[in-house]
Amino acid sequence: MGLCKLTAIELRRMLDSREVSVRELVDAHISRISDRNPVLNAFLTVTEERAYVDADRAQAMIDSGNAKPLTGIPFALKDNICTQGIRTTCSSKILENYVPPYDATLTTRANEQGMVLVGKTNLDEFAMGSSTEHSAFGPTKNPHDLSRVPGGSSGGSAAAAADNLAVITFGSDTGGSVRQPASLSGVVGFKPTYGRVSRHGLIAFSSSLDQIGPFARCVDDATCAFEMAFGQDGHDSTVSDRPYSSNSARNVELKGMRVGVAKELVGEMTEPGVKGAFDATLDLLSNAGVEVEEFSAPIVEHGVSTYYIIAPAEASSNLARFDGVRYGLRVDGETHIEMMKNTRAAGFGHEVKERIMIGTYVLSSGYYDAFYAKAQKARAFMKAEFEKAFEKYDFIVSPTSPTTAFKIGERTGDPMALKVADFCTIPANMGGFPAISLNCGFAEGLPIGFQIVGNSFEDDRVLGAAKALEALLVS
Amino acid sequence: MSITLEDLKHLANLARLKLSDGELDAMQSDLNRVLEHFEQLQSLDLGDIQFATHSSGLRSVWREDFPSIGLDRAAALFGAPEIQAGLFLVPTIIDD
Repeated sequence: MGLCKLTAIELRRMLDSREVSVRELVDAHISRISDRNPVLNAFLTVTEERAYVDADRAQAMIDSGNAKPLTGIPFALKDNICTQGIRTTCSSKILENYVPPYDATLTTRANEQGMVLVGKTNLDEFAMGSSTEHSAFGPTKNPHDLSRVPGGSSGGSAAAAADNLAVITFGSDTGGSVRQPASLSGVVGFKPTYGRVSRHGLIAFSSSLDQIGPFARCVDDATCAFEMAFGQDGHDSTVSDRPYSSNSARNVELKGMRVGVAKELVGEMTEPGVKGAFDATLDLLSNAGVEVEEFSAPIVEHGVSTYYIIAPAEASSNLARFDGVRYGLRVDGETHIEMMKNTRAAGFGHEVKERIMIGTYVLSSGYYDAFYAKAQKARAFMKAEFEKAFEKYDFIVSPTSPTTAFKIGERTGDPMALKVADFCTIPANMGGFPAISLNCGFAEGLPIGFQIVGNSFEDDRVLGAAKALEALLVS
Repeated sequence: MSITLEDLKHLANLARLKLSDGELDAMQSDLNRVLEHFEQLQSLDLGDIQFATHSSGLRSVWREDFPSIGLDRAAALFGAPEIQAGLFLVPTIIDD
Protein backbone atom coordinates (compact mmCIF):
# COMPACT_ATOMS: atom_id res chain seq x y z
CA MET A 1 0.00 0.00 0.00
CA GLY A 2 2.83 2.42 0.88
CA LEU A 3 4.12 2.47 -2.69
CA CYS A 4 0.66 2.93 -4.17
CA LYS A 5 0.08 6.18 -2.32
CA LEU A 6 3.02 7.96 -3.91
CA THR A 7 2.80 10.44 -6.76
CA ALA A 8 4.50 10.06 -10.13
CA ILE A 9 6.94 12.82 -9.18
CA GLU A 10 8.03 10.91 -6.06
CA LEU A 11 8.13 7.58 -7.89
CA ARG A 12 10.28 9.04 -10.67
CA ARG A 13 13.04 9.79 -8.17
CA MET A 14 12.72 6.33 -6.55
CA LEU A 15 12.73 4.50 -9.88
CA ASP A 16 15.70 6.45 -11.22
CA SER A 17 17.72 5.92 -8.03
CA ARG A 18 16.82 2.18 -8.10
CA GLU A 19 15.16 2.47 -4.71
CA VAL A 20 12.29 0.56 -6.26
CA SER A 21 11.97 -1.48 -9.46
CA VAL A 22 9.09 -1.19 -11.91
CA ARG A 23 8.10 -4.81 -11.17
CA GLU A 24 7.85 -4.04 -7.45
CA LEU A 25 5.65 -1.09 -8.29
CA VAL A 26 3.43 -3.26 -10.49
CA ASP A 27 3.28 -5.99 -7.79
CA ALA A 28 2.04 -3.41 -5.29
CA HIS A 29 -0.63 -2.05 -7.64
CA ILE A 30 -1.88 -5.42 -8.89
CA SER A 31 -2.16 -6.60 -5.30
CA ARG A 32 -4.05 -3.49 -4.27
CA ILE A 33 -6.37 -3.81 -7.28
CA SER A 34 -7.20 -7.42 -6.37
CA ASP A 35 -8.05 -6.31 -2.83
CA ARG A 36 -10.06 -3.24 -3.68
CA ASN A 37 -11.61 -3.74 -7.09
CA PRO A 38 -14.16 -6.34 -5.93
CA VAL A 39 -15.46 -3.62 -3.60
CA LEU A 40 -15.23 -0.58 -5.90
CA ASN A 41 -15.82 -2.02 -9.41
CA ALA A 42 -13.50 0.66 -10.78
CA PHE A 43 -11.89 -1.66 -13.35
CA LEU A 44 -13.73 -3.64 -16.01
CA THR A 45 -10.51 -5.32 -17.14
CA VAL A 46 -7.31 -5.71 -15.16
CA THR A 47 -4.37 -6.08 -17.55
CA GLU A 48 -1.98 -7.92 -15.26
CA GLU A 49 -0.05 -9.78 -17.95
CA ARG A 50 0.33 -6.67 -20.06
CA ALA A 51 1.48 -4.71 -16.99
CA TYR A 52 4.48 -6.99 -16.48
CA VAL A 53 5.43 -6.81 -20.15
CA ASP A 54 5.23 -3.01 -19.92
CA ALA A 55 7.19 -3.12 -16.66
CA ASP A 56 10.15 -4.98 -18.17
CA ARG A 57 10.24 -2.58 -21.10
CA ALA A 58 10.10 0.40 -18.74
CA GLN A 59 12.86 -1.04 -16.55
CA ALA A 60 15.06 -1.41 -19.65
CA MET A 61 14.42 2.25 -20.52
CA ILE A 62 15.38 3.30 -16.99
CA ASP A 63 18.45 1.05 -16.90
CA SER A 64 19.71 2.41 -20.21
CA GLY A 65 19.28 5.99 -19.05
CA ASN A 66 16.33 6.65 -21.36
CA ALA A 67 13.62 7.23 -18.76
CA LYS A 68 10.99 9.86 -19.56
CA PRO A 69 8.87 11.63 -16.91
CA LEU A 70 6.30 8.82 -16.71
CA THR A 71 8.40 5.75 -17.54
CA GLY A 72 7.40 2.88 -15.26
CA ILE A 73 4.34 4.67 -13.84
CA PRO A 74 1.21 2.48 -13.50
CA PHE A 75 -1.79 3.99 -15.26
CA ALA A 76 -5.31 3.11 -16.36
CA LEU A 77 -7.54 4.09 -19.27
CA LYS A 78 -11.26 4.70 -19.36
CA ASP A 79 -12.78 1.82 -21.30
CA ASN A 80 -13.79 4.00 -24.24
CA ILE A 81 -10.14 4.48 -25.24
CA CYS A 82 -8.94 1.82 -27.68
CA THR A 83 -6.23 -0.63 -26.70
CA GLN A 84 -5.04 -3.02 -29.39
CA GLY A 85 -5.61 -6.61 -28.31
CA ILE A 86 -7.37 -5.61 -25.06
CA ARG A 87 -11.15 -5.46 -25.03
CA THR A 88 -12.68 -2.00 -25.03
CA THR A 89 -16.33 -2.09 -24.02
CA CYS A 90 -17.56 1.49 -23.45
CA SER A 91 -19.41 -0.26 -20.58
CA SER A 92 -21.92 -1.44 -23.17
CA LYS A 93 -23.29 -4.87 -24.01
CA ILE A 94 -22.96 -3.95 -27.67
CA LEU A 95 -19.14 -3.85 -27.32
CA GLU A 96 -18.83 -6.43 -24.53
CA ASN A 97 -16.43 -8.57 -26.56
CA TYR A 98 -14.92 -5.89 -28.80
CA VAL A 99 -11.14 -6.11 -29.14
CA PRO A 100 -9.81 -3.09 -31.09
CA PRO A 101 -7.40 -3.75 -33.94
CA TYR A 102 -5.49 -0.53 -33.19
CA ASP A 103 -4.33 1.66 -30.32
CA ALA A 104 -5.70 5.13 -29.61
CA THR A 105 -3.08 7.87 -30.00
CA LEU A 106 -3.18 8.28 -26.21
CA THR A 107 -2.41 4.57 -25.76
CA THR A 108 0.45 4.76 -28.26
CA ARG A 109 1.94 7.78 -26.54
CA ALA A 110 1.70 6.19 -23.10
CA ASN A 111 3.47 3.11 -24.52
CA GLU A 112 6.21 5.25 -26.02
CA GLN A 113 6.65 6.97 -22.68
CA GLY A 114 7.08 3.56 -21.02
CA MET A 115 3.98 3.82 -18.85
CA VAL A 116 2.57 0.59 -17.41
CA LEU A 117 -1.08 -0.22 -18.22
CA VAL A 118 -2.82 -1.89 -15.26
CA GLY A 119 -6.38 -1.84 -16.58
CA LYS A 120 -9.45 -0.38 -18.25
CA THR A 121 -11.91 1.51 -16.10
CA ASN A 122 -15.67 1.62 -15.74
CA LEU A 123 -17.85 4.42 -17.14
CA ASP A 124 -21.45 5.31 -17.83
CA GLU A 125 -22.31 3.47 -21.04
CA PHE A 126 -20.74 5.39 -23.94
CA ALA A 127 -19.81 8.11 -21.40
CA MET A 128 -23.48 9.14 -21.10
CA GLY A 129 -24.04 9.98 -17.46
CA SER A 130 -22.68 11.71 -14.39
CA SER A 131 -22.56 8.88 -11.85
CA THR A 132 -21.19 5.70 -13.51
CA GLU A 133 -24.52 4.09 -12.58
CA HIS A 134 -25.40 3.65 -16.25
CA SER A 135 -22.72 1.02 -16.85
CA ALA A 136 -23.88 -2.31 -18.25
CA PHE A 137 -21.37 -3.87 -15.83
CA GLY A 138 -22.63 -2.34 -12.59
CA PRO A 139 -21.92 0.95 -10.84
CA THR A 140 -18.54 2.04 -9.46
CA LYS A 141 -18.51 2.94 -5.74
CA ASN A 142 -17.00 6.08 -4.28
CA PRO A 143 -13.93 5.15 -2.19
CA HIS A 144 -14.88 7.83 0.38
CA ASP A 145 -18.31 6.25 0.98
CA LEU A 146 -19.26 2.99 -0.70
CA SER A 147 -22.98 3.83 -0.71
CA ARG A 148 -22.28 6.81 -2.98
CA VAL A 149 -21.38 7.38 -6.64
CA PRO A 150 -17.87 8.45 -7.67
CA GLY A 151 -19.36 10.84 -10.23
CA GLY A 152 -19.18 10.19 -13.95
CA SER A 153 -18.96 9.40 -16.62
CA SER A 154 -15.26 8.63 -15.95
CA GLY A 155 -16.11 7.32 -12.46
CA GLY A 156 -13.90 4.23 -12.68
CA SER A 157 -10.84 6.32 -13.51
CA ALA A 158 -11.65 8.81 -10.73
CA ALA A 159 -12.16 6.07 -8.12
CA ALA A 160 -9.00 4.23 -9.26
CA ALA A 161 -6.87 7.36 -8.82
CA ALA A 162 -8.54 8.26 -5.51
CA ASP A 163 -8.11 4.79 -4.02
CA ASN A 164 -4.49 4.42 -5.18
CA LEU A 165 -5.19 1.66 -7.70
CA ALA A 166 -3.16 3.53 -10.33
CA VAL A 167 -0.97 6.64 -10.16
CA ILE A 168 -2.48 8.30 -13.22
CA THR A 169 -5.73 7.51 -15.00
CA PHE A 170 -7.38 8.97 -18.07
CA GLY A 171 -10.96 9.82 -18.87
CA SER A 172 -12.92 11.77 -21.45
CA ASP A 173 -14.78 14.99 -20.71
CA THR A 174 -17.78 15.96 -22.86
CA GLY A 175 -19.83 17.95 -20.33
CA GLY A 176 -17.72 17.46 -17.20
CA SER A 177 -16.96 13.73 -17.24
CA VAL A 178 -13.41 14.22 -15.94
CA ARG A 179 -13.84 17.22 -13.63
CA GLN A 180 -17.11 16.23 -11.94
CA PRO A 181 -15.95 12.73 -10.88
CA ALA A 182 -12.59 14.25 -9.84
CA SER A 183 -14.55 16.58 -7.59
CA LEU A 184 -16.78 13.86 -6.11
CA SER A 185 -13.84 11.47 -5.63
CA GLY A 186 -11.36 14.03 -4.27
CA VAL A 187 -8.64 13.98 -6.94
CA VAL A 188 -7.31 16.35 -9.61
CA GLY A 189 -9.09 16.18 -12.98
CA PHE A 190 -8.06 18.25 -15.98
CA LYS A 191 -9.95 18.89 -19.21
CA PRO A 192 -7.55 20.43 -21.73
CA THR A 193 -8.61 22.96 -24.35
CA TYR A 194 -10.71 21.41 -27.12
CA GLY A 195 -8.07 20.75 -29.77
CA ARG A 196 -5.12 19.88 -27.50
CA VAL A 197 -5.35 16.09 -27.23
CA SER A 198 -6.07 13.80 -30.17
CA ARG A 199 -9.26 11.77 -29.88
CA HIS A 200 -8.03 9.17 -32.38
CA GLY A 201 -9.17 5.88 -30.84
CA LEU A 202 -11.48 7.52 -28.32
CA ILE A 203 -14.89 6.02 -29.13
CA ALA A 204 -16.85 9.13 -30.11
CA PHE A 205 -19.80 10.42 -28.09
CA SER A 206 -20.17 14.11 -29.01
CA SER A 207 -17.34 15.02 -31.35
CA SER A 208 -17.57 18.81 -31.02
CA LEU A 209 -17.22 18.52 -27.22
CA ASP A 210 -15.21 15.36 -26.40
CA GLN A 211 -11.75 15.92 -24.97
CA ILE A 212 -9.41 13.47 -23.21
CA GLY A 213 -7.99 14.44 -19.81
CA PRO A 214 -6.04 12.98 -16.88
CA PHE A 215 -6.82 12.23 -13.24
CA ALA A 216 -4.05 12.36 -10.64
CA ARG A 217 -3.52 12.89 -6.93
CA CYS A 218 -1.56 16.12 -7.44
CA VAL A 219 -1.48 18.84 -10.08
CA ASP A 220 2.13 18.10 -11.13
CA ASP A 221 1.21 14.52 -12.01
CA ALA A 222 -1.76 15.72 -14.06
CA THR A 223 0.56 18.15 -15.85
CA CYS A 224 3.04 15.35 -16.72
CA ALA A 225 0.15 13.20 -17.96
CA PHE A 226 -1.20 16.01 -20.14
CA GLU A 227 2.27 16.80 -21.51
CA MET A 228 2.68 13.14 -22.47
CA ALA A 229 -0.67 13.16 -24.29
CA PHE A 230 -1.09 16.44 -26.16
CA GLY A 231 -0.15 17.54 -29.66
CA GLN A 232 -0.86 16.67 -33.27
CA ASP A 233 -0.83 13.09 -34.50
CA GLY A 234 -2.13 13.31 -38.06
CA HIS A 235 -5.35 11.51 -37.11
CA ASP A 236 -7.54 14.18 -35.48
CA SER A 237 -7.84 17.35 -37.55
CA THR A 238 -9.03 19.42 -34.58
CA VAL A 239 -5.68 19.13 -32.81
CA SER A 240 -3.81 22.41 -32.80
CA ASP A 241 -0.10 23.19 -32.65
CA ARG A 242 -0.63 26.33 -30.57
CA PRO A 243 2.30 26.97 -28.18
CA TYR A 244 2.39 25.54 -24.67
CA SER A 245 4.91 26.38 -21.95
CA SER A 246 5.80 23.62 -19.51
CA ASN A 247 7.54 26.30 -17.45
CA SER A 248 4.29 28.29 -17.05
CA ALA A 249 2.52 25.09 -16.06
CA ARG A 250 4.79 24.87 -13.05
CA ASN A 251 5.41 28.53 -12.19
CA VAL A 252 2.43 30.82 -11.96
CA GLU A 253 2.53 33.75 -9.56
CA LEU A 254 -0.98 34.17 -8.18
CA LYS A 255 -0.32 37.58 -6.68
CA GLY A 256 -1.87 40.34 -8.79
CA MET A 257 -4.08 37.98 -10.78
CA ARG A 258 -7.75 38.69 -11.32
CA VAL A 259 -10.28 35.95 -10.87
CA GLY A 260 -13.97 36.14 -11.79
CA VAL A 261 -16.73 34.22 -10.05
CA ALA A 262 -19.74 33.67 -12.33
CA LYS A 263 -22.42 34.19 -9.70
CA GLU A 264 -24.98 32.07 -11.56
CA LEU A 265 -22.72 29.04 -11.04
CA VAL A 266 -22.92 29.44 -7.27
CA GLY A 267 -26.69 29.51 -6.81
CA GLU A 268 -29.59 27.81 -5.08
CA MET A 269 -28.39 24.38 -6.12
CA THR A 270 -25.06 24.77 -4.33
CA GLU A 271 -25.04 22.80 -1.07
CA PRO A 272 -24.01 24.80 2.02
CA GLY A 273 -20.95 22.60 2.62
CA VAL A 274 -19.78 23.16 -0.96
CA LYS A 275 -20.43 26.90 -0.70
CA GLY A 276 -18.47 27.05 2.56
CA ALA A 277 -15.39 25.31 1.15
CA PHE A 278 -15.59 27.36 -2.05
CA ASP A 279 -15.77 30.67 -0.15
CA ALA A 280 -12.92 29.63 2.12
CA THR A 281 -10.80 28.92 -0.98
CA LEU A 282 -11.67 32.33 -2.41
CA ASP A 283 -10.45 33.83 0.88
CA LEU A 284 -7.17 31.92 0.52
CA LEU A 285 -6.78 33.38 -2.96
CA SER A 286 -7.59 36.91 -1.75
CA ASN A 287 -5.05 36.59 1.04
CA ALA A 288 -2.47 35.53 -1.56
CA GLY A 289 -3.03 38.80 -3.40
CA VAL A 290 -5.54 37.63 -5.99
CA GLU A 291 -8.28 40.07 -6.88
CA VAL A 292 -11.54 38.12 -6.65
CA GLU A 293 -14.64 39.64 -8.21
CA GLU A 294 -18.15 38.44 -8.90
CA PHE A 295 -19.62 38.87 -12.38
CA SER A 296 -22.83 37.86 -14.04
CA ALA A 297 -23.23 35.48 -17.00
CA PRO A 298 -26.94 34.58 -17.05
CA ILE A 299 -26.46 32.43 -20.17
CA VAL A 300 -24.87 29.65 -18.07
CA GLU A 301 -28.34 28.96 -16.66
CA HIS A 302 -29.10 27.49 -20.09
CA GLY A 303 -25.96 25.36 -20.21
CA VAL A 304 -27.65 22.10 -19.24
CA SER A 305 -30.40 22.45 -21.89
CA THR A 306 -27.89 23.47 -24.53
CA TYR A 307 -25.66 20.53 -23.71
CA TYR A 308 -28.52 18.01 -23.64
CA ILE A 309 -29.52 19.05 -27.14
CA ILE A 310 -26.09 19.22 -28.79
CA ALA A 311 -24.55 16.11 -27.21
CA PRO A 312 -27.44 13.70 -27.95
CA ALA A 313 -27.75 15.13 -31.48
CA GLU A 314 -24.12 14.28 -32.18
CA ALA A 315 -24.40 10.98 -30.30
CA SER A 316 -27.40 9.86 -32.36
CA SER A 317 -25.19 10.19 -35.41
CA ASN A 318 -21.96 8.80 -33.89
CA LEU A 319 -23.70 5.73 -32.49
CA ALA A 320 -25.22 4.86 -35.87
CA ARG A 321 -22.03 2.88 -36.49
CA PHE A 322 -23.14 0.21 -34.03
CA ASP A 323 -25.26 -1.74 -36.48
CA GLY A 324 -24.16 -5.34 -36.02
CA VAL A 325 -22.18 -5.44 -39.27
CA ARG A 326 -18.49 -4.71 -38.72
CA TYR A 327 -17.87 -5.31 -35.02
CA GLY A 328 -19.62 -5.83 -31.73
CA LEU A 329 -22.87 -7.60 -31.02
CA ARG A 330 -25.23 -8.90 -33.70
CA VAL A 331 -28.75 -10.14 -33.07
CA ASP A 332 -30.21 -11.73 -36.19
CA GLY A 333 -33.32 -10.50 -37.97
CA GLU A 334 -35.14 -11.36 -41.17
CA THR A 335 -34.05 -8.24 -43.00
CA HIS A 336 -30.93 -6.15 -42.53
CA ILE A 337 -33.07 -3.40 -40.94
CA GLU A 338 -34.59 -5.90 -38.49
CA MET A 339 -31.09 -7.18 -37.72
CA MET A 340 -29.93 -3.62 -36.91
CA LYS A 341 -32.97 -2.88 -34.75
CA ASN A 342 -32.66 -6.15 -32.84
CA THR A 343 -28.94 -5.62 -32.33
CA ARG A 344 -29.35 -2.09 -31.01
CA ALA A 345 -32.32 -3.08 -28.85
CA ALA A 346 -30.30 -5.79 -27.14
CA GLY A 347 -26.96 -3.95 -27.09
CA PHE A 348 -27.77 -0.45 -25.82
CA GLY A 349 -28.92 0.37 -22.30
CA HIS A 350 -31.92 2.57 -21.52
CA GLU A 351 -29.98 5.84 -21.06
CA VAL A 352 -28.20 5.43 -24.39
CA LYS A 353 -31.46 4.65 -26.21
CA GLU A 354 -33.08 7.66 -24.63
CA ARG A 355 -30.29 9.99 -25.73
CA ILE A 356 -30.33 8.59 -29.25
CA MET A 357 -34.08 9.32 -29.30
CA ILE A 358 -33.59 12.87 -28.00
CA GLY A 359 -30.86 13.46 -30.60
CA THR A 360 -33.01 12.09 -33.39
CA TYR A 361 -35.91 14.29 -32.27
CA VAL A 362 -33.98 17.58 -32.08
CA LEU A 363 -32.46 16.97 -35.51
CA SER A 364 -35.72 16.01 -37.20
CA SER A 365 -37.35 18.46 -39.57
CA GLY A 366 -39.80 20.77 -37.86
CA TYR A 367 -37.84 20.77 -34.60
CA TYR A 368 -34.34 21.46 -35.87
CA ASP A 369 -34.61 25.27 -35.69
CA ALA A 370 -36.45 25.30 -32.37
CA PHE A 371 -33.97 23.05 -30.60
CA TYR A 372 -30.73 22.22 -32.38
CA ALA A 373 -30.13 25.57 -34.11
CA LYS A 374 -31.13 27.47 -30.98
CA ALA A 375 -28.77 25.39 -28.85
CA GLN A 376 -25.88 25.99 -31.25
CA LYS A 377 -26.50 29.72 -31.01
CA ALA A 378 -26.65 29.49 -27.23
CA ARG A 379 -23.31 27.68 -27.31
CA ALA A 380 -21.73 30.45 -29.39
CA PHE A 381 -23.21 33.05 -27.05
CA MET A 382 -21.85 31.25 -23.98
CA LYS A 383 -18.38 31.12 -25.50
CA ALA A 384 -18.54 34.83 -26.37
CA GLU A 385 -19.66 35.73 -22.83
CA PHE A 386 -16.75 33.81 -21.30
CA GLU A 387 -14.29 35.33 -23.76
CA LYS A 388 -15.55 38.76 -22.76
CA ALA A 389 -14.95 37.83 -19.12
CA PHE A 390 -11.41 36.68 -19.96
CA GLU A 391 -10.62 40.20 -21.17
CA LYS A 392 -11.04 41.21 -17.56
CA TYR A 393 -10.10 38.08 -15.61
CA ASP A 394 -7.20 35.65 -15.81
CA PHE A 395 -9.49 32.81 -14.75
CA ILE A 396 -13.13 32.04 -14.03
CA VAL A 397 -13.70 29.92 -10.93
CA SER A 398 -16.63 28.06 -9.42
CA PRO A 399 -17.37 24.91 -7.47
CA THR A 400 -16.85 21.94 -9.84
CA SER A 401 -20.14 20.42 -8.74
CA PRO A 402 -22.99 22.05 -6.79
CA THR A 403 -23.09 18.98 -4.53
CA THR A 404 -20.86 16.35 -3.00
CA ALA A 405 -21.21 12.68 -3.99
CA PHE A 406 -24.83 11.53 -3.91
CA LYS A 407 -26.20 8.10 -3.00
CA ILE A 408 -26.31 5.35 -5.59
CA GLY A 409 -29.88 5.26 -6.96
CA GLU A 410 -30.80 8.64 -5.48
CA ARG A 411 -31.13 10.47 -8.79
CA THR A 412 -32.21 7.77 -11.21
CA GLY A 413 -35.94 8.52 -11.04
CA ASP A 414 -36.11 11.99 -12.62
CA PRO A 415 -34.31 12.32 -15.98
CA MET A 416 -33.29 15.91 -15.20
CA ALA A 417 -32.04 15.31 -11.63
CA LEU A 418 -28.85 13.62 -12.76
CA LYS A 419 -28.32 15.96 -15.69
CA VAL A 420 -27.94 19.07 -13.53
CA ALA A 421 -24.85 17.47 -11.92
CA ASP A 422 -22.90 18.95 -14.84
CA PHE A 423 -24.23 22.47 -14.34
CA CYS A 424 -20.86 24.02 -13.42
CA THR A 425 -18.70 22.03 -15.84
CA ILE A 426 -20.70 22.37 -19.08
CA PRO A 427 -19.71 25.97 -19.94
CA ALA A 428 -16.03 25.02 -20.39
CA ASN A 429 -17.04 22.35 -22.93
CA MET A 430 -19.34 24.78 -24.73
CA GLY A 431 -16.48 27.24 -25.18
CA GLY A 432 -13.75 24.61 -25.56
CA PHE A 433 -11.89 26.18 -22.61
CA PRO A 434 -9.29 24.37 -20.47
CA ALA A 435 -10.55 23.64 -16.95
CA ILE A 436 -9.30 21.82 -13.90
CA SER A 437 -10.87 20.56 -10.69
CA LEU A 438 -8.88 20.14 -7.50
CA ASN A 439 -9.97 19.21 -4.02
CA CYS A 440 -10.59 22.21 -1.76
CA GLY A 441 -12.09 20.53 1.30
CA PHE A 442 -14.66 18.09 2.63
CA ALA A 443 -18.24 18.22 3.88
CA GLU A 444 -19.24 15.33 6.14
CA GLY A 445 -16.27 13.36 4.89
CA LEU A 446 -17.10 13.88 1.21
CA PRO A 447 -14.70 15.73 -1.12
CA ILE A 448 -15.45 19.12 -2.69
CA GLY A 449 -13.92 20.32 -5.95
CA PHE A 450 -12.76 23.81 -6.95
CA GLN A 451 -12.83 24.54 -10.68
CA ILE A 452 -10.49 26.91 -12.53
CA VAL A 453 -11.37 27.73 -16.15
CA GLY A 454 -8.93 29.56 -18.44
CA ASN A 455 -9.06 31.00 -21.92
CA SER A 456 -8.54 28.67 -24.88
CA PHE A 457 -5.03 27.24 -25.22
CA GLU A 458 -3.96 28.65 -21.86
CA ASP A 459 -3.69 25.10 -20.53
CA ASP A 460 -0.27 25.90 -19.10
CA ARG A 461 -1.58 28.83 -17.06
CA VAL A 462 -4.56 26.85 -15.77
CA LEU A 463 -2.26 24.05 -14.60
CA GLY A 464 0.16 26.58 -13.11
CA ALA A 465 -2.59 28.40 -11.21
CA ALA A 466 -3.95 25.07 -9.93
CA LYS A 467 -0.49 24.11 -8.70
CA ALA A 468 -0.12 27.43 -6.88
CA LEU A 469 -3.58 27.06 -5.33
CA GLU A 470 -2.81 23.46 -4.33
CA ALA A 471 0.20 24.74 -2.41
CA LEU A 472 -2.02 27.25 -0.56
CA LEU A 473 -4.60 24.56 0.24
CA VAL A 474 -2.15 22.09 1.77
CA SER A 475 -0.20 24.69 3.76
CA MET B 1 -44.73 20.80 -27.57
CA SER B 2 -45.14 17.25 -26.40
CA ILE B 3 -44.20 13.91 -27.91
CA THR B 4 -46.93 11.42 -28.73
CA LEU B 5 -46.56 7.66 -28.84
CA GLU B 6 -46.80 7.86 -32.64
CA ASP B 7 -43.93 10.38 -32.76
CA LEU B 8 -41.86 8.07 -30.63
CA LYS B 9 -42.47 5.08 -32.87
CA HIS B 10 -41.48 7.13 -35.90
CA LEU B 11 -38.28 8.34 -34.19
CA ALA B 12 -37.42 4.83 -33.05
CA ASN B 13 -37.67 3.63 -36.63
CA LEU B 14 -35.42 6.46 -37.85
CA ALA B 15 -32.91 5.64 -35.12
CA ARG B 16 -33.12 1.89 -35.88
CA LEU B 17 -34.16 1.06 -32.35
CA LYS B 18 -36.72 -1.59 -31.45
CA LEU B 19 -38.46 -0.49 -28.27
CA SER B 20 -40.87 -2.52 -26.16
CA ASP B 21 -44.19 -1.02 -25.06
CA GLY B 22 -42.77 -0.57 -21.56
CA GLU B 23 -39.73 1.26 -22.94
CA LEU B 24 -41.92 3.48 -25.11
CA ASP B 25 -44.02 4.48 -22.11
CA ALA B 26 -41.01 5.27 -19.94
CA MET B 27 -39.40 7.18 -22.76
CA GLN B 28 -42.49 9.22 -23.50
CA SER B 29 -42.64 10.57 -19.97
CA ASP B 30 -38.84 11.09 -19.75
CA LEU B 31 -38.60 12.83 -23.12
CA ASN B 32 -41.50 15.13 -22.36
CA ARG B 33 -39.89 16.04 -19.05
CA VAL B 34 -36.59 16.80 -20.84
CA LEU B 35 -38.34 18.81 -23.57
CA GLU B 36 -40.08 20.87 -20.93
CA HIS B 37 -36.62 21.82 -19.70
CA PHE B 38 -35.49 22.61 -23.27
CA GLU B 39 -38.45 24.98 -23.69
CA GLN B 40 -36.61 27.49 -21.52
CA LEU B 41 -34.25 28.06 -24.41
CA GLN B 42 -37.10 29.47 -26.50
CA SER B 43 -37.31 32.53 -24.29
CA LEU B 44 -33.66 33.31 -24.85
CA ASP B 45 -32.91 36.40 -26.92
CA LEU B 46 -29.60 35.68 -28.60
CA GLY B 47 -29.68 38.66 -30.94
CA ASP B 48 -27.90 38.04 -34.22
CA ILE B 49 -25.33 35.61 -32.89
CA GLN B 50 -24.01 33.21 -35.54
CA PHE B 51 -24.84 29.54 -35.45
CA ALA B 52 -21.70 27.58 -34.47
CA THR B 53 -21.22 23.84 -34.60
CA HIS B 54 -17.77 24.01 -33.09
CA SER B 55 -15.98 25.97 -30.40
CA SER B 56 -12.47 25.74 -31.78
CA GLY B 57 -12.56 28.20 -34.67
CA LEU B 58 -10.20 25.85 -36.53
CA ARG B 59 -10.50 25.28 -40.24
CA SER B 60 -10.04 21.93 -41.90
CA VAL B 61 -6.41 21.02 -42.29
CA TRP B 62 -5.12 18.82 -45.04
CA ARG B 63 -2.13 16.58 -45.28
CA GLU B 64 -0.26 15.62 -48.41
CA ASP B 65 -2.20 13.00 -50.34
CA PHE B 66 0.22 10.10 -50.30
CA PRO B 67 -0.51 6.39 -50.02
CA SER B 68 0.05 4.79 -46.65
CA ILE B 69 -0.60 1.42 -45.11
CA GLY B 70 -3.98 1.15 -43.41
CA LEU B 71 -5.57 -1.55 -41.34
CA ASP B 72 -5.09 -4.91 -43.08
CA ARG B 73 -8.11 -6.93 -44.08
CA ALA B 74 -7.72 -9.67 -41.48
CA ALA B 75 -7.48 -7.10 -38.66
CA ALA B 76 -10.48 -5.17 -39.97
CA LEU B 77 -12.58 -8.34 -40.16
CA PHE B 78 -11.38 -9.75 -36.86
CA GLY B 79 -14.23 -8.38 -34.75
CA ALA B 80 -17.01 -8.87 -37.30
CA PRO B 81 -19.99 -10.95 -36.19
CA GLU B 82 -20.15 -12.79 -39.53
CA ILE B 83 -17.80 -12.84 -42.49
CA GLN B 84 -17.60 -14.75 -45.75
CA ALA B 85 -14.84 -14.78 -48.36
CA GLY B 86 -13.06 -11.88 -46.70
CA LEU B 87 -16.18 -9.71 -46.60
CA PHE B 88 -18.73 -8.63 -43.97
CA LEU B 89 -21.83 -10.80 -44.24
CA VAL B 90 -25.25 -9.16 -43.83
CA PRO B 91 -28.83 -10.34 -44.45
CA THR B 92 -30.12 -9.88 -48.00
CA ILE B 93 -30.60 -6.19 -48.76
CA ILE B 94 -31.91 -6.38 -52.34
CA ASP B 95 -34.38 -9.10 -53.29
CA ASP B 96 -33.82 -11.16 -56.45
